[in-house]
Amino acid sequence: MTVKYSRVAWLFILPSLLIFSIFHFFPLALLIYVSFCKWDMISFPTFIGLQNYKLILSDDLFLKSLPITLVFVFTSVFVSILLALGVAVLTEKPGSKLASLCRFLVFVPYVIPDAASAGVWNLLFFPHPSSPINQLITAFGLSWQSWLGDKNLALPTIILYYVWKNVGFNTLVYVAGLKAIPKVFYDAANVDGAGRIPVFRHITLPLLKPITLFILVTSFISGWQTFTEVYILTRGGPGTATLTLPIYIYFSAFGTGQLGVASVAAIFLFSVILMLTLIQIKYIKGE
Amino acid sequence: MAKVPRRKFLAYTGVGIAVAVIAGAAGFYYLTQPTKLELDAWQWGAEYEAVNNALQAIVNSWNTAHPESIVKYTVFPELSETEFALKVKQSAVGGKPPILYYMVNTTILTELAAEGYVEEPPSDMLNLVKSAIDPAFHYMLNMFSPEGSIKPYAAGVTIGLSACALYYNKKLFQEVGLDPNKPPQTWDQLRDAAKALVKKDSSGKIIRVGVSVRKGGNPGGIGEKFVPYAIGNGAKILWKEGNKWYTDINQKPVIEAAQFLHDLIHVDKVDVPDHSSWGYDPWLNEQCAISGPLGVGFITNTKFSKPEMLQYLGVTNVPSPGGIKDAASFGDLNCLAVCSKATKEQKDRAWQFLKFFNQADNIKKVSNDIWNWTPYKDSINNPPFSTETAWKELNKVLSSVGRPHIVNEFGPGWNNLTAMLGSNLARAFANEITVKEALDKTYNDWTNFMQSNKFYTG
Repeated sequence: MTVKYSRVAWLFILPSLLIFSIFHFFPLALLIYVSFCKWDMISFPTFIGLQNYKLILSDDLFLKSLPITLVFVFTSVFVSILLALGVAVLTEKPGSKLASLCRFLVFVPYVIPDAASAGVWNLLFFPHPSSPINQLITAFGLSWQSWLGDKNLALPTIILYYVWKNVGFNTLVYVAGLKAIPKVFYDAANVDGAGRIPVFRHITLPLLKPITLFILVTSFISGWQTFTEVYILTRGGPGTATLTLPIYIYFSAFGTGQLGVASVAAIFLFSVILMLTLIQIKYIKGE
Repeated sequence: MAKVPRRKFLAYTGVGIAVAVIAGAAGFYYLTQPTKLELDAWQWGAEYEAVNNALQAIVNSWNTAHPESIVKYTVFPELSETEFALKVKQSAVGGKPPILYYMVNTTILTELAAEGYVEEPPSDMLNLVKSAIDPAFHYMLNMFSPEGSIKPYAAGVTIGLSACALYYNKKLFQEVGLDPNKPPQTWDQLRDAAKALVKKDSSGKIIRVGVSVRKGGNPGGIGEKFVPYAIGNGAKILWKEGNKWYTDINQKPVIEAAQFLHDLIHVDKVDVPDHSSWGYDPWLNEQCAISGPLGVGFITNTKFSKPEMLQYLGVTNVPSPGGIKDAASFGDLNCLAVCSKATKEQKDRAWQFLKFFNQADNIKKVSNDIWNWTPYKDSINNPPFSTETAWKELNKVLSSVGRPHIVNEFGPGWNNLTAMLGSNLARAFANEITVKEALDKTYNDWTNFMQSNKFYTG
């Protein structure tokens, strides 16, 4: 009876397994193989051993992209989590239309297609006094900035964009998490005369830990893979000020035709994401 | 078994027969139609809407007259040059290549021709094109063949000349005391003019650029727009001797040209370090006084975006240390060509379409009617190109420069060279690395890359 059940189970998951293999395992295997080859994507790849790995370690563009990506990912993830938590807690008034409106407005950027919203941000933050944002800040007596054209401001501007775009989704998850906390804990705290901040610190935050860890894992994965917005906003410029790892991979593969080197970088990115995810999952399980 | 009432039975049978008859008639009609030959045309780039619309109008009139062999084209607006060339080659290997190319950039076509993906026009087609195009621009049809000789491959031109000139604002020239009829022609003159034209706010930030240097966006574009400066200083960029290809991309003439542009940004401070000063809009909005090198579309775009600016538009050569006698321009043209991997039938129909395209009425549609410069005799010798001031100035520049339009000398690997060059120059112009480091890296990256290119034996 058990053997029959297992066979039937395998039969049911076979189509999904097949599709997953074709669209995930096979490309991954090909990626690993190409990282040891020189390939023009027309003829069969030529095996060259560890040459691409040696090349990338001496490529200053790759080495430059790592700290840029780290700064982008960690800053944007933590800022968006903190903001999302704040907005969720502040708008957690059941039945309040204002609270619902606030959550709606925060969530709207998330549903706008990346290409469209990044295009609009390009216009808003155009590096000239005539751009809308510069006109706004000069109206308050501040001096205008080059934003996406300034090598010191380009990355913070992209981080700002990323936070604006993604805080809505995180807020939604936190709101769901807050609603799931049993009311009995708050009632007990009320009876004991606990204030709002101790309640938040000792009840809300600990009970939101699983949600926070979920958001952390998904945000890190998404952050490391960010490509569209950086490509549209700055294409890795000015110079290499916003050259993140995905942008480096793209330009190596399709700008200069170095498929092998791009594959090595992609494997590195995959390894980093996998490692971070496993650490976080282990931590969740431990908790 | 339940009995079906007679009426219902007759009704169902009647409906069934009617459906069968209709389906049969439709199938018969479909099967007896002459087989449609679809001529897939792949367009790289999505610039110049008016040109695209004019081209579509020509295609529509062809398709109406020739329903048995319709042309349909697909635009690939966001692919890099390398990606597009790769796509063509992969589709050819896969057995379904495009039949026609419409390139908004000949550098891709140069590579495809050298690697055997472009069909050389038959003699009657070639004679037709050469008789229609001004002899001064015949070389623009030429590209390297797989055997290494230079042959004509383009069979239809929709717009010509890429980074061919600088465009300046005559009104701003007058405002700062410069003679609007004596634009800069040497590097020193360009530097001095840009210094007079640059405008800064009270905090010292540039709010109007004196001269714009291309330093961002598509790396291939950065490389391409730099080339006329380098060639004007005596560089050759890419050439063949015997069986070997050579580049002087890290030699003195190129270094000096790159350093000149770098210094405009960081020493003379007549341009901003970011990419915001480049293109049509900054010039139209008077945020940039001198723009380029850019193509002939600059005049067209001014006419249709801000016609009031046309009266202030001046055209001059890309400066070189020796002035106009040594000046270069980049003669990259948007053209139609036929894929060599198509079937004979497809190619024959494609040539017929191109003969149709090259008729005077159609050239007028894609050229004079929309202020779009093409190298056709009928086009450039008629209004507006023969009458409007900006076009007359452009014609003067084109006929005066010492080293015109040598794009056909660039062979295999040109796409990668410009992309690598552009990518490294962008870093040098952002002061991340020195100009020498950028060009040395370009040389090393390109020669390393070309080791596996079957056309490179250096």
